[in-house]
Amino acid sequence: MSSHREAPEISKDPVADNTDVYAFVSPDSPDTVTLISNFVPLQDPPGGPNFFEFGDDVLYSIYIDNDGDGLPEISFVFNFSTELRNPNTFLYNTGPITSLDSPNWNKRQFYGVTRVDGADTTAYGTARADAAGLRTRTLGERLACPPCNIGPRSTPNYSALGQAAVHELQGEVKVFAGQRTDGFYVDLGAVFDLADLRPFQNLHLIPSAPAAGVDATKTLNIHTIALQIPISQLTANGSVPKDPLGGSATIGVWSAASRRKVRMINDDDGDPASEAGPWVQVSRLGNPLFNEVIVPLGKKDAWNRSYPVSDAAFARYVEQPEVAKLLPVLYPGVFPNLAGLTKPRADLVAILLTGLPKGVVPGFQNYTGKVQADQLRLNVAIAPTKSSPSLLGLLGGDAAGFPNGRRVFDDIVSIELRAIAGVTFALVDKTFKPDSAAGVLTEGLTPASNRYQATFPYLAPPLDGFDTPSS
Amino acid sequence: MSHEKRKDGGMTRLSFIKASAGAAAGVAAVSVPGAAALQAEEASVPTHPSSHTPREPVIAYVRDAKRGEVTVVSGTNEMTYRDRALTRRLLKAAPRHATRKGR
Repeated sequence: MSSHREAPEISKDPVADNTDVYAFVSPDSPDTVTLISNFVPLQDPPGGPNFFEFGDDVLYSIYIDNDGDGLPEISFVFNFSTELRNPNTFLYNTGPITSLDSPNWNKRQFYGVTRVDGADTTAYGTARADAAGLRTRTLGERLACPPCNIGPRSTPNYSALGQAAVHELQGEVKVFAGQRTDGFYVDLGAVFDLADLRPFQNLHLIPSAPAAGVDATKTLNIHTIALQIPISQLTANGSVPKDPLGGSATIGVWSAASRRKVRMINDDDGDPASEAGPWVQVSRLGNPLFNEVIVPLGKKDAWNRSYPVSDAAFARYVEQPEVAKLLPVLYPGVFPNLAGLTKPRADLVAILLTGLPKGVVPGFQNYTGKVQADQLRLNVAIAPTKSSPSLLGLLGGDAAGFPNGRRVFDDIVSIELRAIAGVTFALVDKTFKPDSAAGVLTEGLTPASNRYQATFPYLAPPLDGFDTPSS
Repeated sequence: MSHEKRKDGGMTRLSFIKASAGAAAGVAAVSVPGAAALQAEEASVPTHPSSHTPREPVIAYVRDAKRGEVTVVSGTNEMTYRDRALTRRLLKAAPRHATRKGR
């Protein structure tokens, strides 16, 4: 999946598992950028009585690199706390929850947001913090999360309940943290069954009749942290760039989760656990599928602990991606040109590690310099596409979509499949002719529109546990 | 005074010792190093815990016994010291199996 359960260690730690990151110029507020980071993957909506929540013992961070050095100059950090109204019931709620302060809601979660500025804000909360010269500013405290969507009796009119949890902070910043429908769509069962693509499985090494794709995440929820921030608060010089080809128009975005270095499981009747030490990063995510399909299994945990500024160490996996070698084997005779391609994949390095420089795609660039770092790179001078955006983003001629940042509905599986299959290599090497199949690769999925909404936080309210799955 | 190695700008060894009454090091160890310090200090006495584990305990562990390196985490700080006397004292206080590798 994008980054759901993508590495051995984090797959055992769902509340810290960063599944998707989105960054886009807000379509209904084009002077702002929306940043979304999702956690706690594959939530089955009826999963009570302890419904899903963020980790009180996890530090969640969203990072901005606005000068291309691979280090974040800005981060937004989120810390959560859970409160029980009544510890003597097993119930999440003892009646309908009709407001965020409903007395019927027993287990509530709150959070604080802090903005951190400095030369390297990954140092926040770590053993490097004192020497890092960081400046911190509390943007919000004791902000309420919405409840999970239990069902029509417990959480009637959920849409309004969820929207009440959109908080407006100083500086025209909006924030939301809570359960949402997962916007990421993928045919999981097919992908992990030897990279079968159902519409093309007649061409697979182990063939069967073509079929429509199966959307494996369409009935699952996620936990979302979303921010909407004026562009001027994210750029290096406080500007609002208007020239897409200008040098300061692109920001790098990624997200992470950290845990305390030491955790003791207590065997007395006090706190169930004690913690100490600096925060240690256990999960990170910039471009979708980077750790999932680019980084090999034996390196995935180390990648999650490392920082983007060190990603040159992983560039060889981008230059020679394993999937590009597998496609010609799994689809015999379909990808002869890809099979003969042995040059380092400069196209994928640009898309994933540096951004696309001027001249590759006319009128577009999101290049941030030579430092190789896995970040979503968003050119904030490119206006959002309001009418008929292409799910294929830049590949579909829509420069407001992936890999120019990432929108909630972008079909990143098809985009990255086509790129890895060679479509984008032709942009940097005119002697290469992509295989005809490369340009039509797809999982055969179109996301249902009820996964999204037109306004912040753009991901739709979560599916409720009474009606999902339907009988 | 034994050598001190700082990984960050956190508390100094002296401030740590003053701050952590529960840690296995006494102020006397600062000015009387080595075996003499061990003799001067009160011996460790096994006991039952008198309270719950603190929510944010100060934790010290022997990182490298041969080099005499001890790491202490406190709050969000972490420091590693080279302190052979402290290492010896911790190892002496440790149950026998604790000195073996966990896996």
